[in-house]
Amino acid sequence: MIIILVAVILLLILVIIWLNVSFYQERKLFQSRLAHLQRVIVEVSQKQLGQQEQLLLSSELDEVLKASKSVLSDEIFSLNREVFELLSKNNLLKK
Amino acid sequence: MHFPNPCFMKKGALLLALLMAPFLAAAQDVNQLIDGLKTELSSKPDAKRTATIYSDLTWYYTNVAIDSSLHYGAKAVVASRKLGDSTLLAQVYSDVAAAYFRKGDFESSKSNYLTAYKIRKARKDYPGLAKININLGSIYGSRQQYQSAVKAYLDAIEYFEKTGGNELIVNVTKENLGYIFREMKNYPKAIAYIGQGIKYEEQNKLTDRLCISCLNMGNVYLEMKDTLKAMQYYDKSMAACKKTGDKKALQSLHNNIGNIKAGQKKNAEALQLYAESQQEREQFNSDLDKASLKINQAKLLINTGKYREANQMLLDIKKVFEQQESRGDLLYVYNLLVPVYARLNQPDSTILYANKYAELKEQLLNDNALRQTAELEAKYQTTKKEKQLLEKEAESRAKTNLIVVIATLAFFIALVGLLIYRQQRIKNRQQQQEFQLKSAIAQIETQNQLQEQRLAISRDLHDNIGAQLTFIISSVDNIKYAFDIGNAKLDNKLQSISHFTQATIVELRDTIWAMNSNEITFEDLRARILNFIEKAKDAREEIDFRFTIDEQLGGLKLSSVSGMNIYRTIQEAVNNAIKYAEATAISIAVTLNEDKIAIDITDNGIGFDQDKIEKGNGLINMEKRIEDLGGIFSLRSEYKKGTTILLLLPNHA
Repeated sequence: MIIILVAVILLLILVIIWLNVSFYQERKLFQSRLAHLQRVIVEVSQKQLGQQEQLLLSSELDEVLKASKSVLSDEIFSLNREVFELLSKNNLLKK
Repeated sequence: MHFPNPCFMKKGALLLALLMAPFLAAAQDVNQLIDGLKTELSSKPDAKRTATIYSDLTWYYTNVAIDSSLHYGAKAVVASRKLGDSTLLAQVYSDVAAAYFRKGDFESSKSNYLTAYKIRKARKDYPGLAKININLGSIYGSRQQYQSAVKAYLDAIEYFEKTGGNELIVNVTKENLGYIFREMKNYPKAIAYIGQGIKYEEQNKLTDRLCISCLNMGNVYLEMKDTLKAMQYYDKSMAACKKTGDKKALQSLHNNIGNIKAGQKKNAEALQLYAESQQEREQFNSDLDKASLKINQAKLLINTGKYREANQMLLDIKKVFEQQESRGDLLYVYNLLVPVYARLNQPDSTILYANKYAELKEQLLNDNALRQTAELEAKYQTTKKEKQLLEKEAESRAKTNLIVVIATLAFFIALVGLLIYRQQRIKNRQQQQEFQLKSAIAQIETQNQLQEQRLAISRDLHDNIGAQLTFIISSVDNIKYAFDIGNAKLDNKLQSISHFTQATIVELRDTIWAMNSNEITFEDLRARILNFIEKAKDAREEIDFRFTIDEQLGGLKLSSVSGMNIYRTIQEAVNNAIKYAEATAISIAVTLNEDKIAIDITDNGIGFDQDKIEKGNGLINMEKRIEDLGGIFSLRSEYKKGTTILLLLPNHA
């Protein structure tokens, strides 16, 4: 009886050793997976940051273009008025 | 101290050994001590002193009155137990054992010594254990348990030899051991051990000890039938005993030498020696001892044909033995009386003593058989009980072992369970962490995709705007060259539209350049600025332009926003120098200043008085861009001494 129990204890000790080894390997595997995911998240975050900056530039440009558009519209309107005034003065407008 | 007589050995009584040594003290002194102790006891001292007095009385009475010794011994045991003083208790048991030994009750003596032994062993009192071993050796010797006796003596000798300083005890114990070997008929060892004792005593001139040791050695040789050597040692013993006046040893010597002489048919000498022995023993021996010693004389009378004298002597001895119930000696007397009466031609008496001899012998044999049977029975019962005890112990041990093993097993099972549970928890947590990270990545990627789409739309939009602006410039230029416009106002307007559109396109291209570059280096910035300068040179060819970059910063990468802001600032500064300062030399130097990046833009233009002018949009925008990057913008200008703009930016690399 005692021999069987001692054998079971030895078996359990082996199981404990095996479990520990297995746990250690799993932990290492998890750490490597985690490190990979962290690298990925850093990469995508940097990419996102870059894109945000590009979008910021784009917005700024849009603002500039909006202002330019206004100026250009005024300029073209002014040019047209000048042209019409000139044509009117010389009676060149179609009647 | 042994005084064995080869003719009649009462083994138990003779093995007094060391135990007897203390009793050689004067009896008178002992009585005085006892009286003193009793007086102290009557004054009712405290419990500890009372117990000690009982113990001392036990010891001193041993040599005076055994019954009193045992009486006080019992009281001492009770008092010591009450006190819980194990040292005193062990001493009391030893004293009681000594009293029993003195009484001749070896079984009780042994039992008490063993109790004392147990207590001293628990207390690790090794000197006490060694002394008990000596006494136990004497008891075992008395009980003819020679193996145990040898072991006990050897243990004691080993201890005393190891500790040193106990030569006398060691040598006396060796002599006792020699006596045991003599009993075991192992004469060489007996001679060796007694010889060692004699040598020590001769060296230290212990005459009283030599008297006894040489007597014992002579007895060994006598048993070996080596009468010459026996006589040598008897002579040595005689000389020593005469010096010390040890009459007990002398009577033994006279008797033993008489035996040798009788063996040599020197009857006259033998009778003379026996007579001397008898005289000496008259002084102190008991009737029984005297009678025992007379047997030798009777034997010698028979051998010399003096049957009537022998008959008378034997009848006297017989009375003593009958009174004392010494049946062994009586048997010996009957055996001698048979041939004596036969020689005296008294057939009735011959038959009577022959019958008495036969009857007593049978009785003794029966008694012996009964004793042996009883001893065997006792031994059997003891063995049986011991076996039962051992079985119970083994059973109990097995149970304990089983419990221990089961407990260990339970512990290991619990440990395995705990490990698995803990690992499962860790695994769940890991999966949760992994899931959270993956979710975060997926979310960011989704956002990135959305941003990518927005950027794509922006790029398309900007491309369209670029194309439209180019179309406007192209249309304006076509109008200008296709028609001869004499109106200066119209011509200026067209020129203004063309310039403004071109400036917008430049702005558009610069931004698209920054947007398309994920990372911008100072080298990229230099190329871009040089490109800008080249275009500026179309208007002002005389400008000397220099752009230097610290080697350490050559590879430094800036984000698109940072790069764009720095580019716009430098561009604005260079543009101001060309347009308003009328500078002929512009230098840009990018250096590493401790942990900051320093960009120095210097021109040799007309400069201005910083206190008199108000900052325009250009300067405000430059300052704002640098502050957005966490940097410091500073401007230094003096009229006709040029302008220096210093940008200090944090070095994130």
